[in-house]
This record gives sequence, structure tokens and C-alpha cells, in this order.
Amino acid sequence: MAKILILDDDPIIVAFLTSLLRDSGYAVVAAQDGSTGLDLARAERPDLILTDLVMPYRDGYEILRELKSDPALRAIPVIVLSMKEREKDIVRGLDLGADDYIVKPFGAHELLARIRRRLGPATAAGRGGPGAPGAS
Amino acid sequence: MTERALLFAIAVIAGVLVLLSVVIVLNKAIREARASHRRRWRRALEPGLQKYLAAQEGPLPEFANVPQRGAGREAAVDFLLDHSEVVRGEARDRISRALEGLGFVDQETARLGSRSWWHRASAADRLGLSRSPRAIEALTQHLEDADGDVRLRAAKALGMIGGQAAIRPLVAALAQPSRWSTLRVAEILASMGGGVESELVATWHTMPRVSRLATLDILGRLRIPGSAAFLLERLSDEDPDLRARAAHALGKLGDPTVHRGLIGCLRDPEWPVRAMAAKALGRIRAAEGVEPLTALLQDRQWWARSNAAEALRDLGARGAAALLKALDAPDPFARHQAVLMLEQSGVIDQYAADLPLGGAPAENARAVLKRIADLGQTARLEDLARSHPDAATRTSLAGLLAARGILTGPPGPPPARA
Amino acid sequence: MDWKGIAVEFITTFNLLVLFYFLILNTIYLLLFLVSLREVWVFVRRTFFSDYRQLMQSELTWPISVLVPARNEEKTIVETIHSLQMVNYGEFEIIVVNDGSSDETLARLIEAFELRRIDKVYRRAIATEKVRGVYASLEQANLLVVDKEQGGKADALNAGINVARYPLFCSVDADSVIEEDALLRVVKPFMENPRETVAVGGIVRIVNGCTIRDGRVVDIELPRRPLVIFQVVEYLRAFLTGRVGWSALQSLLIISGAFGLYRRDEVLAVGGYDRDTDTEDLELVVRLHQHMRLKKQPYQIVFVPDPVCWTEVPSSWKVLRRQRYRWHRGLLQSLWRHKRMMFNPRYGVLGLLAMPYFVIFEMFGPFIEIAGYLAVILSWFLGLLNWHFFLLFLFMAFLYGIFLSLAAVLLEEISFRRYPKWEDLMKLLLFAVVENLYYRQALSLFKVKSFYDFIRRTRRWGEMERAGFRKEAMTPAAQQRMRAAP
Repeated sequence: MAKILILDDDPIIVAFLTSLLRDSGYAVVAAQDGSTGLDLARAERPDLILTDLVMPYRDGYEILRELKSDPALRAIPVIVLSMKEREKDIVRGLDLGADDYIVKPFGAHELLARIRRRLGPATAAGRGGPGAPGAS
Repeated sequence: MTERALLFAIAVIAGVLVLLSVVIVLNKAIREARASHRRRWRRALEPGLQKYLAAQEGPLPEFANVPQRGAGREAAVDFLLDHSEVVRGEARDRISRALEGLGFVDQETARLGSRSWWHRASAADRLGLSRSPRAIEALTQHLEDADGDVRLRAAKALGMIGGQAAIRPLVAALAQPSRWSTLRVAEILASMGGGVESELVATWHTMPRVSRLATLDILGRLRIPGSAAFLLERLSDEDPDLRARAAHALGKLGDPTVHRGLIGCLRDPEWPVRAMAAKALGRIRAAEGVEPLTALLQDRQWWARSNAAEALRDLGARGAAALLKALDAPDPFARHQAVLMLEQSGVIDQYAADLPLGGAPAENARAVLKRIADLGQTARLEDLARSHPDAATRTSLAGLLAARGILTGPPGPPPARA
Repeated sequence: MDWKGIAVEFITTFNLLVLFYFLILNTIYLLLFLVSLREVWVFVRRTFFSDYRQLMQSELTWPISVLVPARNEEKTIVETIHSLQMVNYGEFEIIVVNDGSSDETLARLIEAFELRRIDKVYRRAIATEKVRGVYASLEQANLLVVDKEQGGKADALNAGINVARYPLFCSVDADSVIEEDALLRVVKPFMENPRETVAVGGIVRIVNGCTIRDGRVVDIELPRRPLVIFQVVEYLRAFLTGRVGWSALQSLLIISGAFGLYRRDEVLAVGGYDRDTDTEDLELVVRLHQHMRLKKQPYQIVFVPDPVCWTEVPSSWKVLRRQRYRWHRGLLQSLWRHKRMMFNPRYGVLGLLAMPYFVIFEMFGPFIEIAGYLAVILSWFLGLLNWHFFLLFLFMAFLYGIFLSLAAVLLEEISFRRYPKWEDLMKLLLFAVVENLYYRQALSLFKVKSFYDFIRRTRRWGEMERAGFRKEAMTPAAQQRMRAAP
């Protein structure tokens, strides 16, 4: 079962996404700030990371930089889910290495479709580290 | 005063004190008890509600058993409202329908008629969150509410519900008594995209001045290419503030073909217009603007000169050439601004790099740098003389500065990037 | 001559006078409280609908220059600026003024933000000590550092005002923590009433005991030390009841030591900050009032009862004493300098009510109070004290005050609720009572001593210099807290 890591400081979003993703067949771990998030990423080696940008302790941009500069974590696809909708924010996120950028408020089914695109449907994807099949 | 009366008075006061403390404590206790009750209900209902949101079809009762009234219903409503700001698309439509089904929309619409402004404002707020189109009519009426906060909340709610039916009353609501309120409505409109532009343009002629000012700002934010023509016309409005705003908006639009109109504005009798036109020309990077902007460097007004200099800085090689010429301008401010701009755009650094090359480029560079040193603005040159990576350049610069009596001693604070 | 008789007469009359004094003082507080109650209540309800988050990214709010005067702040200056950069506001610039630091403050800034010297062109509208250079960042257009010779905090602020380019400026102490929405909250009165608003102040909260991470206050708790808790109660009373009340009466005199937003053109018109005073912000506000009244134009200087700024307060008696000496001295200086405004109807409520209030109750009051206590004790020794009087005295001097402190706590509970824990509330209630039993009296003693010094014109500039602008030294624990990295 594919594992997804959620990084967001808003508990409502975390609860909603956890429920949504679990019901779709993914395993979910979550963190509410950047530092814990990075630790979890290293410990759990998720197949996909969903992250917000504005978070306490370390913001999403920093997380992106860290993730993409760490050879062990670089290959994990990262989808940014943020309220920042200005073009320059989106460009910045993508330039820093985000594989996708979704603006909040988001369409739940759209999000699921994009995740499926990267991981394949939940039941078919194998559990693996970076470079697992199913990522495009 | 008898002893008893006095003691009685003191006892009363002491009693009041105790009462006050009790009130404080009770107030908090009641609040917390209520909150905790609601939390329990929410925990119980949440799984079902989550599933409802994620599902593609089926009404709410099929997923969660929400009671008709009381803390349970409140908890479910809170959940739905919380999530209405998080999702959009299908999930959000389902939220609206669930709220309608729970009777929430009717209940809040009724509350819009309350005598207390607080209730009306709160109702408008919650209706906005519900995103239910059923509320549009009632909200439109309250755009003219007696209370300012209620008007704003109604406007915001309409903005959230969206759609054509909401745009028209919102544009009309731009005419608010306070700038803060107009700003709020303008923000709402700017975030709605779509048909806002056509409505603004269509109703321009009937708008009061404050709405017109906000309209120009909104058009600048919306950045719809088609608005260029409308904005160009506004450059000849009688009101100088409107002309200035229109120029500003054209700058944000980024359409390079509008330069002729803006260049015309550089000769406007009012300085805000000149300043904004200069800024806009810099933004759209119109090479045709270089000459008129150079002339503006001698403008009487600080902002106009300053914006003209910054625009030239952004106009590439031709702008840099104009700034170089300005080093010899009769006006001291123009000269100083020119140096600052050349510094910021890196031209001074380029010339410094040319120095050791020899031949014509070096001679040219030397002449320019000498001129700058003569003007007395040597901060950058001094830094470069101390910290440029190439030793020959450093020596040349140090020599140049020394000839003017400026000694560059050993390195001062940690060197900046050269 | 019946000396004893005269003495008894005298003491009895004096006791009555003291009683009267307490009665009037506390009743004024009560009235201010009632005014504040209404203001805060309305304010909290209205700002519930303010949607600061939506306006956070707006480009249409008025731009602000944030001035940060700094001297010998090498340990914390970079963090402070980082946290300021994260403030949610459309357009603002940060101007750090390095007031002749003898440590590495400037170097740290240059390194952290990749600054380089620029030849900035600006008008020196206010005379200041020599400016050695202006530094800017290539990456971020909105950060400037002004390096100048030492001149004191007021001088540094003036240099910042000279360089600032926006119509509004605010002054932030290098060791204060500003809330994310602070600028939005204090700019609101300007935008609602652009022609008339001249200055806006916000509530300062006490950060001792709270946890700060990355320049944000993340956990709010009452501090442990009793002395600091007393100050919490005192600030609640002073801000929530006092300043809000005075602001509503158009007589706000003290914007605050740590945060205030001003209109640049009006401040330039009154000549900027004054270097010869201990409390430059108080002095500036009084001068602004005077200037605006003389212009005979409608204006407002308001206080936003909204917590926007957190600051460290003294945690030892010694440091507290120094701080209060300085505050009181500054007050006396300003009152003396502007004595023309006293009882002068040209200055409206400010001249007729607020200034006399400050003179009678803030300046002379402490004397009456201390003398009153002494007189009561003396009366007891002489056997003059009677039941009625003693009880009445107890009531006036203590119970009434306790009532007001409790009322301030109540006001906080129903409005901002920054201290959510039960045990914190209980502590606040307890300390509200105890505050009136010896803390306030100690403060009065400080004021008496300060007045005495003022009359004798002894000044303690030296102490101020050594401690930099953070005039009361930070405890090591506090420094550690502020530096806490994730």
C-alpha cells in the first residue's frame, strides 16, 4: 500500500486529507510543522509528500529545498498544497522542485486524480522507496 | 455615619468583589463546558461527515445521523462550515446541499432580519461560508444595510457565493463611505475574476469617484488584456487621481503597446500622473520611453524624478545610456539618482571590470568612473577598490579614487559580493 | 498653645484629605474603566469581522516604513529582522538604524542579508548625528540599514525617518516580537479615517513566560515570577482600562514604548523625536497633540485595544526600579515642558482633563499616597485612629483598587482571552488582589524618588548607554528563549 506524508499546520486539513486518502486506500502519516515533517520523511520514506507552504518552525520552501537536496529523499514526488495563489509563488514552488502545485481551496477529486497519476491507483502500487514503479 | 451602616457598605463592596470573581470563573466554566459538549458531538459525527464529503453522491442522512437541533446539529454545521473554506468543486457543492438540507440556510436568512447588527453580520458571514446560491437575494438586500460591518459582510458573502448574480451588486457596493470598506469590496471583486471586468466597464459612467478609483485598481489587479483600451481612454480623464491610477494600472497590465498614451502622460500638469506614467513605462519596458523619461529626470517633483530614474534603470542598454548622459545633467538630484541607478543595475561594476582591459573600452570606463567619483558618490567604487577579485582592477580603482583624495584603506566590514 | 490639639487637628484633616484623594482617584479609574469596557466590547465584536487574513496579501493598503533602532544587538538583530520580514503586509520596508554599535551588529547584518553600501539620495529633514553609510540588499528591495554615529534612540529614529520613503512609519524595538497581523491592525484606523488619523498605538503584551520560536509567540503562559505577574495585571489595567479610556476621550498621551504607527509628514512637522528626554515617544505624542490642536484641524490619535506587540519586562526589582524611574522622569519632563497646555481650553480635553489628571494623580499623587499610609500608622501610634476611619481607609485605598484590578481581568477574559488556562486565570485573580497590597505601593515609592531626583536634576545617562537601547537588561534565560532554534 502506498504511503503518503501530509505536512500542514491546519488540523482540519490534516484530518480531512487523512480521511480522504485512507478511504482511497493509501496509508497516511502526518506532521503539523516542518521539522517534524522532515524527520518523518526520513523515517517513513513515503511514496509521496503533500505539503503546505506556510508552516511554523520551517516553512514549505525550506522543506522543499531540503527534500530535493537530500539524495535519499530527492526522488519522492512532492505536491504543494497551498493558499498562496500568486503566480510568483507558484513559480517559486515549482522552481524549487515541487512536482505539482495545487492551490487551496482544492477540489478533493482533482487532488486524488493527481495523486493517482503519480502513484498509480492505491491498490496496485507496491510499497517501495524512491524509484518505485508507478511514478511518472 | 453609624458603625453599622459603614460595615454594611464595606460588606456590600466586598460582596461585589466576590461576585465579580465568581462571574469571571463561571463565565469561563460555562464556555468550556459548552465547547467540550460540542467537541464530543463532533468526534462522534466526524467520520460520517468525512465520508459524506468524499463521496460522489448520496445525501447527508445516508452517512451521518445528525439530530434536528441542539449541540449535535451545531457541531455538524461547524464541521461543514470549517471545510467549506478548504475544498472547492464537488465537495463544496455537497457542503452547500447538506447545509440547505439541515435548514441552516433558511435559519441564517431569517437571522439576517435581526435587530442586532451583530446577528445580521454573523448571519451574512455564515451564509457566505455556506456558498448557497439561495442566499443571494437576501444578501443583496443587505448591501444597503444601515450598519457598515453588515454591508461588508454581505458583500464578502456574495463574493464567496460568486457568479454573475453577485457581481453586479458588489460593483455597486464599491461606493462605501470609508476607504477601508471600499478596499475590502475591491479585494473581493479582484478575487472573483471573470465577469467583473465587463461589469465595471459597463457601469463606469454611473459610478461615484470613490468607486472609479477602486475600479482602476481592480483592473490593474485582474490583468485582463482587453482592459488596455479602456484604461488608455481614462488617461485623458479630467480627474488627475483617476489619470494617475489608470497609468498605474496600465503598468501592471504589462501590455507593451500602450506606451504612446503613457508617454503623453509624462507631460501631464499634475505630478502624480507623471510619476505613475514613468513607473508604468519602466514596467512595460517600452524602449520608446527612454527619451521622454530622460527629460523627466529634471522634473520639479521628487517622485516623478525618482520613478523616471528607476524606469530608465529597467530599460536595458538604452536606459543605461540615458543615465550615463544624465551624469552631466544640470540638476544635482538627477545626477545623483543616475549614479544610484547605474549602481543598482550593475553598470558601474561592468565598467570597473573593463578597466584592466586596455584600449578604448578602458579609456571609456575610466572617464565614466572619474565622472562618478567627481560627483562624490563613491561608496560602490570604494567597496570595489577594496574587494574586487581582480587585483589589477582594484589597483586601478584605488588609483582613480586616490587622485580625488579618497583613500581606500584596508578592508572594512566583511566585503560584499563583488 | 495647644500643640497637641493642633497636631491632632492637622493629622485628622490630612487623613481626610488622603481619603478624598483615594476616592477621586479610584473613581476616575472606574469611569475610565466603564468607557473602556464599552470600547473594548464593541471593538472585539467589530474586529471579529475584519478578515485580516484576506487583506494580508493586498497591495492596496498604505505602505509602511518599519524603523528598528539598534545598538549593540549583535546576538538578536538578525533574528529580529527575519521575523519582521515574515510580517503579513502588502508593502513595507524595514530600516534598521545602527546607532554606533560597539559590537558586531552591523557586520552580522551585512553578512546575513548580503548587504552592500549604496549611495542613497535622501533629504536630511531632521538633523542627526553623522550617518556613516546606508546599506541595501541586492535581493530584497525592502531592507535598508543606516549606519550612524551614536546619538541615542531618538536620534536613531530620526535618522530612520529621514531615510524612510513611505507616508507611515512605525518604531519597533529590537527586542520586541511583533504579531503577524500587527501592521494590518494598526493601519486600519488610518485607512478608515485617512485625513484625521495622525498616530495609532497598540497593546503591548508581556512575553516573559511565553515561548518564542522563529520570531513568533507560539505558547502563551503566565510567567512564573510574582513580580512579573504583577506587571501582567498592571499592564492589563493600564492598557485595557486606562489607555483605551483616554483614547476614547481623545487624550491618549502614551502610545507605548514598543509599538506605534505615525504619519511621517506630521512627525516631521513637529521636528521628529526629541533627544533630550527619557521617554521620547511620550514627548512626541504630546507634541503631536499640541501641533494638531494649534492647527485647529480635526484629528485623532487612537489606541487600538488589540494585542500587537510582545515585549520583555523587568523580572527583578532592581531593573524594574530603573525602568520606572526613567518612565516617571520622562513624564515629568514632558509635563514640565508643555505646562502651557495645562488648563488651557485651546487644547480641549487634553489640556483640561488629561494633563491636570497626570499632574495631580501621577505627579503629586504618589506623595499623597505614601504620606497617607504614614499618617495612618502615625495615627495608630498616637491612638487617634478610630474604627470608622480605618475601615473607610481600607476600603478606599485597597478594596476599591482590588475591584478595578479584578475588573481589568474580567475585561481581558471576555475579550482577548490570551491566557486560556484555568490555573493562569486563578493566578491572575489572586494577583489582582495582592497587587494592591504592596506592589502598587512600591511603584508609588519609585515615583516619589524619581520626582525628587527630577527636581534635583540628576540624570543617569551612563546607565542607559551601557545597556544599549534595551535599557533594562534581558535575563540570560530570556536571551536563551529568544534564541531558541527549532
